[in-house]
Amino acid sequence: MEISARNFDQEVLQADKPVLVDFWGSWCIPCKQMEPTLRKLEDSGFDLEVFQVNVNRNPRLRARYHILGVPTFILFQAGQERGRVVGSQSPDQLIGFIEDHLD
Amino acid sequence: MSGHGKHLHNANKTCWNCPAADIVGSIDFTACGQSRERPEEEHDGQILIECRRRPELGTFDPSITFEQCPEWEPTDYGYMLKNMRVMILGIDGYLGWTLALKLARLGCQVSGIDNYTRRDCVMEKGAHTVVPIARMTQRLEAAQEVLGLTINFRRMDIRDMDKLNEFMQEVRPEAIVHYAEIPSAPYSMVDAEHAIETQNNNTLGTLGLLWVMKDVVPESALIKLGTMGEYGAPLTGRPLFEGMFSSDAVLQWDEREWSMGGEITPRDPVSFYHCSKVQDTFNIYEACKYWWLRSYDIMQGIIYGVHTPEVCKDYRLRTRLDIDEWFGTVINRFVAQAVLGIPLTIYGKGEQIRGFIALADAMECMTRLLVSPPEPGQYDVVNQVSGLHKIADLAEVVAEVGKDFGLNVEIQRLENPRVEAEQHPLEVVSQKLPNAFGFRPKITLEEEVTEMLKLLTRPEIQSRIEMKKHTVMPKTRWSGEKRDSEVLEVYEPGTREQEGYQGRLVTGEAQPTMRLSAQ
Repeated sequence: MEISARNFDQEVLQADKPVLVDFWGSWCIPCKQMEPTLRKLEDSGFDLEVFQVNVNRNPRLRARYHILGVPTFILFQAGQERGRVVGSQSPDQLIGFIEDHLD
Repeated sequence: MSGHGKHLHNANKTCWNCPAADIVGSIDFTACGQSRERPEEEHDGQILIECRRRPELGTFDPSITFEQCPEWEPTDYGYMLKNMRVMILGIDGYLGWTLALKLARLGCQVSGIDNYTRRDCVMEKGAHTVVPIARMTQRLEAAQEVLGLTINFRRMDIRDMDKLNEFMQEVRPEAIVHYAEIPSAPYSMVDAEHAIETQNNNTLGTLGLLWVMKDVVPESALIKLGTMGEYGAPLTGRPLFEGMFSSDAVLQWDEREWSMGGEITPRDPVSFYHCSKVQDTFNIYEACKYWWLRSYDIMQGIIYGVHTPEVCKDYRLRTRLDIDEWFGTVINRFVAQAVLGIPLTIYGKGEQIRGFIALADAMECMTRLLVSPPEPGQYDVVNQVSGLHKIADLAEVVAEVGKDFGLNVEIQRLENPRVEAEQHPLEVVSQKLPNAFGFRPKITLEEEVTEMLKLLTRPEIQSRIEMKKHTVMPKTRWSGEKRDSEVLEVYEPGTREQEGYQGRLVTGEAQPTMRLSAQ
């Protein structure tokens, strides 16, 4: 689901569950091509929310999280950043990244 | 307009896709793996826009949907921007003229350029369009007189960047359809001069266009005609994925793995003409990344047919139909041969499988793409085909339909003038047009061949075919030699044994997992 600066704090930082945020740009082809993998992640049984932030439309969030390349995936838990990974990810890589960074 | 569906395919697109949206303040060009920061204006952290069409709205969040916006009106092809300004490059050609009439009739303000290259190249072969076409001035008069349409035409070469820049500034097109390329594989294989002219016109013309768009109309969507021939026909049967790999395409090597997401899928062009289109693909891909241009790159199947509701209205509105070895596409050529009563000529085994689409269906695809523009910076590829056919099977279909017109023709196999696989599997993925743009093919091969035969068997057209029959047989060889191809076999339709592979066209929504590996 797409979120913006308006509801980011509520949906991500104050969430009960861990949250994976996909910072993406409309010009970015690898970002566009992540869609099937994100769908697979949502169906994978992880107790995890997945949100997307369009960095074109949310330059402040981009600046706040120092996004220099897209896609950037940041994993949040209890309001804290637990890890980030940059670039197109395969389903196994994304799941591996999440498993490595969750408590 | 009537009968458009309940939910139009582009209903949920927003200002973000709309060429009338003018982004306020600066934008960030952070690209994948590289960044270029620009100072940002303070707009509460949001990108805002102004609407060029509705300046009274002031600045606002680009979230109004096409369904909500009064500037976008429902049509049979999706919501369409009222009086949308569309510039067609190559407007005098087979596709350009046909699309111009269709779009103008739908209410678009159509402009276009052409330098009559196609007319000149066909004349160079000593051929002519067998369906006579009017001069541009008469075409424009007829469009006005018969259909009440005004088309703003300017004669120019796409490579004349000053003129193109000036015309773009005058028109400020909201979408640009790029048909201004030399579209012939054999033409590009005649000799060095023809190969160079093809690549010069196509590649440099497109490159210049991208720079002009960047300077004048970066908000305009570029709908660029590529070809399925960019992909070639891999002998392994590996599917022709639609432009780019998805993220679950994985390369495994040396016990590590990478996602291929967003990388351009393999291209294997089959002539110097096809190479020019592959180069265009890369140039457009880069321009979208550097400058936030937006484009759909259309990998179109081989086109055939003579028929759309508009071109049939008057003899002066007809579009061209070429049958010579350079510019006659295979089905169009078969139909002309059937009318002449000479054998339908297939190259080599005739087991080559290709993607095809009828003229009217292709025009519908273009219209649907045009009304659903990409977002700023978005480069996307669509595979535009409605069916896959084996060349030898096409000959059978034309021969069969020809019987209804009292035409009885044989089929002959010629020594193949091209360098290509003559027997190969083919699997084409074409999921975007049917699923994201609501396209369903409306015309069957048999129906369009019937329409063609109705027109081409008229005495005045039959005599034009007769006059140029010496231009039909292939003399241009990929080896560089100029000679006739030897006849390998002549057979009666219906007697050929089925062998080899069948094509597979994948149009459903399912996205199978992709996994590549190398150890």
